[in-house]
Amino acid sequence: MTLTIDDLEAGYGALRVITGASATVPAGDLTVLIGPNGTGKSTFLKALAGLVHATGRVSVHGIDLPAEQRRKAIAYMPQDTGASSSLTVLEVVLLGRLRSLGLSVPEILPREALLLLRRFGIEDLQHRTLDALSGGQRQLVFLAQALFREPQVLLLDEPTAALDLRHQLVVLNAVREHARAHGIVAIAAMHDLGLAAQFASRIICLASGNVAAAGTSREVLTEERLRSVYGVETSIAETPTGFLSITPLRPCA
Amino acid sequence: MNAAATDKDALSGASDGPRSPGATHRSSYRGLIARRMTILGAAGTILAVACFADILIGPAFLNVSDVIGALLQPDSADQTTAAIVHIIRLPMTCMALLVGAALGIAGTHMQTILGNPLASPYTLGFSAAGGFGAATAILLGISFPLLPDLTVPIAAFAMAGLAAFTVYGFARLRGMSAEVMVLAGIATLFLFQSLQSMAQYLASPEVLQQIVFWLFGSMLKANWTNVSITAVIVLVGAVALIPDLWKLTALRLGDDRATAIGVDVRRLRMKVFAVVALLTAGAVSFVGTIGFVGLVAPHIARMLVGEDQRILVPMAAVTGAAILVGASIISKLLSPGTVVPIGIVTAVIGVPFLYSLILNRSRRLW
Repeated sequence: MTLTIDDLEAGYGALRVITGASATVPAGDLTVLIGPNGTGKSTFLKALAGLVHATGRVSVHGIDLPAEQRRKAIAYMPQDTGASSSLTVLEVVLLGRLRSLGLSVPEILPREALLLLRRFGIEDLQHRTLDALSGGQRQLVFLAQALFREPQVLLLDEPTAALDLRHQLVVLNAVREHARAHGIVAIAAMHDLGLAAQFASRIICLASGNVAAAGTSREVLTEERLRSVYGVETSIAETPTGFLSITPLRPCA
Repeated sequence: MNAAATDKDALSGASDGPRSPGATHRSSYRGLIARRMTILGAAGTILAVACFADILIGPAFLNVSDVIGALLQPDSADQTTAAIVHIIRLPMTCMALLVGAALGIAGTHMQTILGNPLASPYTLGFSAAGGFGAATAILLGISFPLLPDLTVPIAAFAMAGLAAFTVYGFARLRGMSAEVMVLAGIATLFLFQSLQSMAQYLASPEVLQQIVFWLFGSMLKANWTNVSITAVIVLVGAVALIPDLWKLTALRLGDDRATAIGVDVRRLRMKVFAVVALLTAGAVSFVGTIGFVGLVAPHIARMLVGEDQRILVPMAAVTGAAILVGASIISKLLSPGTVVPIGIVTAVIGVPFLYSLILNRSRRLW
């Protein structure tokens, strides 16, 4: 299965943020979306999810999905983790299947939600309220909510922002394992290029609202590209563990 | 959990929190819902007892047995007693029940769609507009030929509706965002408060007394006609949003997250806004301005049963009704032989309970 994006344009009112982006994203692993601030990563993901007005084609399995269908088939996890609510963790996860919830909740749903929480090791938090959780725990809860929708495509907007090192690894591992186990398309927008190189099977680099490069981490993360896209001199080396280490040196003159 | 907690704690949830992890592990979702329904049932029972007490108490000092006799066998009861119970006390109690429920529901929805714990049905100026409409009708001595008794309520309802359309117009132009709704609402509130003050300034002392009495909020205006009209309004308002209760629950996660899981936030806000305007205008029109209930009842309900709006909304209705019926009882007891306007004493019944909930550290406030 692949997600194919063809000539995607999106924006807010008269402002065009994404200007004719095209890319192919394979299923079964994690793809990371990188790019400088303000380059349109969030808008790109929202456009894919059908949450902002967009033109162009988005297809899954070769089948075109209009925005209405994308809103059902694609799960999007927003960037903000500051949601303060006294909803319980289990209720937050259940909301992932909003369309299945009525005045009574089918008995199978809480059981399935609990299995998902167990997989992330947070089953004990099921009746804890959201505002009593740490940022890392909340991120896992919202990730569980997104996965509870059983999406074909999972889009995560900076899922590791504001997380400590351990939780960054926990969240990215969980996403990658889920994508591999269920064969879904998973795209995460991230700023940490080192983490991107470590976890992504494929990287898409956005610049000025368009795809500047796409490919493996070694193909995309080059000193020359980071200079042209980010305006920063970097030093890129391979670590003994086989990952890329990216050290920012100075802004370009 | 604080930032200094260990990673193991962060992942297992084995840190201090409002509930012990062991207990949460054993609990089931069904058990949680059952506990909340039990609390709702208990609150309903307290409300029923309060309603009965409200009917028993009054400035006519009737015997308990006489009141019960008039309730159960009106034909064989003393005519005066039956008249007091059926024409004065029952409509007053029913009106307190309905208005309290309306304000509780409207306040809950308002806090949800505005994402603001300080929001109440009066935040957007509907009540001030209703007060201005009533004050104007009283000041000008307007009387509709076929409906003289309903002239002031109709004027209040119409003006509250005008305020609602004003706020709606501004909010719609800017995408129904909570911020624009609050700003437009507060501007409308101040506008109608000023106009209300102007009407009071222009009134003669006798007319001013009538206006002030109306603005206090009192159940003495209740009769079976306006109880019936209010009942229809509350029923429509309560039922209209039943299909949207889970969407409203989702809105507590914020606009972006609600949108991401399939809620059309803009459309939901428009619908809820219309229902809140209807409930508030309906509540204010017949009994005047009764503050506090719409602000506090949702908080008490939320602390008792959580955020699931399927249970929170009925709980807020019961809580609002209980506060107002309780206030009705106190308003009759404060000065034996008279009835103090209920709007003056609503806080007296609700504040002690709210204080106790605030002091209970295991409950979340918002």
